[in-house]
Amino acid sequence: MKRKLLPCAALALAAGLSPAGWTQSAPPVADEAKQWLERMVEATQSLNYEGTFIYVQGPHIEAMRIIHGSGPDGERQRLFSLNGPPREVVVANNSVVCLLPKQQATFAGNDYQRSPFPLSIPREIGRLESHYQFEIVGTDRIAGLETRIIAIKPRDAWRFGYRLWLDERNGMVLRSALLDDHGRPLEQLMFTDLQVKPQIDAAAFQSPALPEGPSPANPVDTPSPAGEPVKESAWRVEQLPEGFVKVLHTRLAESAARHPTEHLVFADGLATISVFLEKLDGAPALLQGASQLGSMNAFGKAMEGYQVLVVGEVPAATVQRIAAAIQYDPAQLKAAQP
Amino acid sequence: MAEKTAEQRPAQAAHEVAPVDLAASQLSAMVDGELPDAEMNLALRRLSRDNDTQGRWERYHLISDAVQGHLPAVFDAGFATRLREAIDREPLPQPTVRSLPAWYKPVTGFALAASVVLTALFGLQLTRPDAALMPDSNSPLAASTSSASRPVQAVSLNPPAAEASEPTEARLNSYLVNHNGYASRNSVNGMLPYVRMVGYQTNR
Repeated sequence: MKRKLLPCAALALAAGLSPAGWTQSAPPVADEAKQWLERMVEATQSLNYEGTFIYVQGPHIEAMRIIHGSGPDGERQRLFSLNGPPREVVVANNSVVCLLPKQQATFAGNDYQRSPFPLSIPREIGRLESHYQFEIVGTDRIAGLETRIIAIKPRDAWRFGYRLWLDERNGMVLRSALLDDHGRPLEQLMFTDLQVKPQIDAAAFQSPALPEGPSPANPVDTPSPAGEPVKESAWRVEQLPEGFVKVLHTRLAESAARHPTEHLVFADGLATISVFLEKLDGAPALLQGASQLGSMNAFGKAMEGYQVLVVGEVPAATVQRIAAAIQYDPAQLKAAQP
Repeated sequence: MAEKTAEQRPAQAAHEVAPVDLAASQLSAMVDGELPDAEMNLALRRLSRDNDTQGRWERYHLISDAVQGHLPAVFDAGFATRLREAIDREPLPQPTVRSLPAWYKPVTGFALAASVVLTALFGLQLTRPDAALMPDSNSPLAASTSSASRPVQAVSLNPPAAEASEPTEARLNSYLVNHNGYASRNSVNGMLPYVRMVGYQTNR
């Protein structure tokens, strides 16, 4: 991984580059902000750390603990709530196991494929520049550690902005905020304590409340097999908001609880939007119109006997626009090339 | 030459161990299409492993073709070898459908339990009858005005989904989990979607 970062920061800042003078050809400050983002991506994936953070979303506040490790087998992560009903997500060895309230149900995906980390996204961060502007806006102290504050501002109203507080030492994100179009926080996360360690004991990833994985003794719903990629589909999403590209089109494995469903994912590198197309088979539509869940907006409609549901951490207008752009064209299915 | 070959034969026969003869006769039977099915597997395995056997296979076919008058005027003894080499050199077709962004990693089998994440869609108004709340315009501007008046957390006092049947909740919840599962792979801060997953589970 490249780490030819930091040094020109102070110089660039001293040069007094203002955001007003922002252009597509990124000034040094933007370059440096991007380098910080690269560091962040690398740090969040490759560091071994253990920490406690608070998560604020609207009027709600949560405390959570995270343990993250990486090794030859890939990343492992255990994330659990410290207040309220126990909730937990364990990501390890190609599987995700969740503990959820009340019924203590778990789910797991055996085929949850995680490529070796860390992903290097300098190229994509460069691509992001068409839709976001990056800026280093100062320094701050979080969890007793010195941080650099990076602002990511959307260039249009189709996406939210971010503010990130990154550990000066390694780029680890110690605080983050998702901001609406007025710059008000929709969602915030802040570490109160973080320890970076050379190694993390495997036992730390073991949840006392969770099985190590799905097993007959822990009947879940049968873990679905991998969703299959869709090559031919009658569904089209035309005229996406600029910058969003389709990164996935899969058909979710059928189960008793689910009718045939296609899942499309669109991403601009920061924001992710899912489109679900579920055949209703006579069942009533699940959601019609706009709704909101925390920082995520959703928009649903019934169309051609399908429930169309668009959800993502983007403004309400974005999910609505995508919902409006969805077209059903069975002729395409027949004409589709292999 | 013929004599010499003839002379060598007994010596060779004496020298060769029985399995080779057996293999040779098996091979010969195979060329003639007379090898019993039961022996076919073994013979094929030997053929695929053993260069000598492969050479012999070619010669037997040549003999068979010659006897039956099927030989072309000119034939190329090294053809099979060269064909094999050519095939070995041929790059395997790569299963690239189209190039994906480098940050994209597939999350397959993000499996879902029906009853999982029950309170996840807390806040999602499950049975809103129409889209009247949303302005018709697609413009972001229209949306930003609506977002100012959006019914933020219309949520907190209603037990979520109380009116929705469990299967309905389960379906919606599975969407949320699936979305966050994929989002964690696509976003720069891959930790956040999991935090959202946990955060939305609150018994609010």
